[in-house]
Amino acid sequence: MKDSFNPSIEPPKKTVTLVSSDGYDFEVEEEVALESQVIKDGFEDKAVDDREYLLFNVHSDTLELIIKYCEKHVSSRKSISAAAASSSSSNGEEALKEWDEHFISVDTNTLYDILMAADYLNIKSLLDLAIQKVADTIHGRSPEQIRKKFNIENDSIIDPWASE
Amino acid sequence: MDLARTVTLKLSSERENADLSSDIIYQILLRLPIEDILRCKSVCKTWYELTRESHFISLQMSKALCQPSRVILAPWLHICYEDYRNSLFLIGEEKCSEIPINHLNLTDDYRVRGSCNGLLFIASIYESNHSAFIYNPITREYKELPNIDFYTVLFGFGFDSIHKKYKVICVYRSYYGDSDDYEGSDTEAPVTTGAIITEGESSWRKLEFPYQVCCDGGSDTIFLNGAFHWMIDWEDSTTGSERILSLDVSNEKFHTISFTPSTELPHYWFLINFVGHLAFVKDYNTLSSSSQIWQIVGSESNGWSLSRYCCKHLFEINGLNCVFRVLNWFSGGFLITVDVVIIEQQAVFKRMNKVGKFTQTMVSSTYIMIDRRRIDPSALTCNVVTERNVAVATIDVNLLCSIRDNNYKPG
Repeated sequence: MKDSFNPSIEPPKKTVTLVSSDGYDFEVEEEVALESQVIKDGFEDKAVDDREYLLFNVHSDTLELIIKYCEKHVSSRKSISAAAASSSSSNGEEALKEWDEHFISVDTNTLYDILMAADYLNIKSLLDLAIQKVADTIHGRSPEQIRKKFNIENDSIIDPWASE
Repeated sequence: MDLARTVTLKLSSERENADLSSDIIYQILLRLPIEDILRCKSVCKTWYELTRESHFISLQMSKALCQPSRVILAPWLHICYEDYRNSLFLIGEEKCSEIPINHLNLTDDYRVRGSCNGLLFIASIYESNHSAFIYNPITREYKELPNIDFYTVLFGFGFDSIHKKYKVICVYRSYYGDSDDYEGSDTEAPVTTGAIITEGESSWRKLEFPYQVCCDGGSDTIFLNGAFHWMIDWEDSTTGSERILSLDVSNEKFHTISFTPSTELPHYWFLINFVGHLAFVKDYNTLSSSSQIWQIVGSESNGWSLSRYCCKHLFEINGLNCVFRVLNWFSGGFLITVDVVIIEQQAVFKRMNKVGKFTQTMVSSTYIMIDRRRIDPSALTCNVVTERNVAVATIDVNLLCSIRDNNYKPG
């Protein structure tokens, strides 16, 4: 009965189950899942025992990353607002930005998957992060380099810009 | 399941081949500068077509409204006459791209006389019967306008957003009685007259101006909020309270902007586009310790007033990489703005003698004064100024891609 020593014990967290396209179950806290606008919309209408979401388009590898991102953001938000309430100085936002930067520094395929999943689940901050990363990747590159980087077939009907 | 959104996500067996929705591609492209967008157009057919959709164009347009401009310069003529160059320049991050306009066969008296939505208006500085063009520097398409056969002192180039047409206005001065003889009219005051044309029309339409407008060096037509603006020549003005004449581009009706008699107006001033607002700049020929910008605030119903900004002059800006935009130019130099960090700090800033730092937080712009006589022709990375040549246009490059097709290849 270790928990009984903790006076501020919280009731057990409500969870929801996310099922990846390849059939893996991920049990996550409600507030983490609610980072997804798609899950949030209509969440209240769902019966409590039916909070299972089949994510047809999100592979387990990607879903793991997405959950990691959402958990980090939920916890950071809490500590930032706690710091603000106690008016103690905090570099929480700065730190979170750094964390984001590190999080999104992935190979192109993974970036692609995160982008698709963030769009599908409608997680705005993650979608912004991924879009900016793709834009940064494109910036300054020739059409040929972009095609190669993103595995795009060249069906271009116009002459590529002479690369300078 | 609520996840059945309208997003079309096609997943093939290989995950990395999934198609991005067009909305996502839009959002990616909208975060890129014009050079990148142009390159992206030739990545694949899908991207090319996306950039041509009107939805993308309008997104791009509205994004560009709150973005700084970059400069396209037209150094048509070098001091050395053999080195004849007919080119526009786009100032980029690390270099300038040359935009050839050789196919227009312009003589050296042509200048960029206005720009709007990424298009340029190009006309001669001479009086003779000459042609004029609306030019798209991206597609290199152009429209030739009917010849201009009056001595135009001011040009205006604007967009009629109601009828979706571009308009050009020439402002010139004629004399009652002997309109043919420009010289022999000492006794009569000149009358400001306009000639306006909508793209596609076959001739210029005469437009009587209800007021005389200032035409001396430094004066310019300012196109803002769907109207051309000029300063009323206050020495000619009889009533005394009207200061600015506006011409609505859509309905071609004139309006005026008046200030109450108690409003203290600067003495020597020009009208400028001050980060999207009309403003006066005071006497910027003689920059002393500070200079002032008087932003015109208010509306027709609530009256107009001036909000004054003070520009402090600093003598160096270390480590600044900037984009700049010409606000206005006059015989002695330019007033330019430094909007954001873009251009490498090269010789540019070392050669500037005066720098104005804008202290207001609402616009993070720095205003810079360049004395034309003191800078090296190559100082602004691409022969900004030569002895005879001050053809300068402001252009919002973020809008460039939104104009039709792309056949543009940099030289």
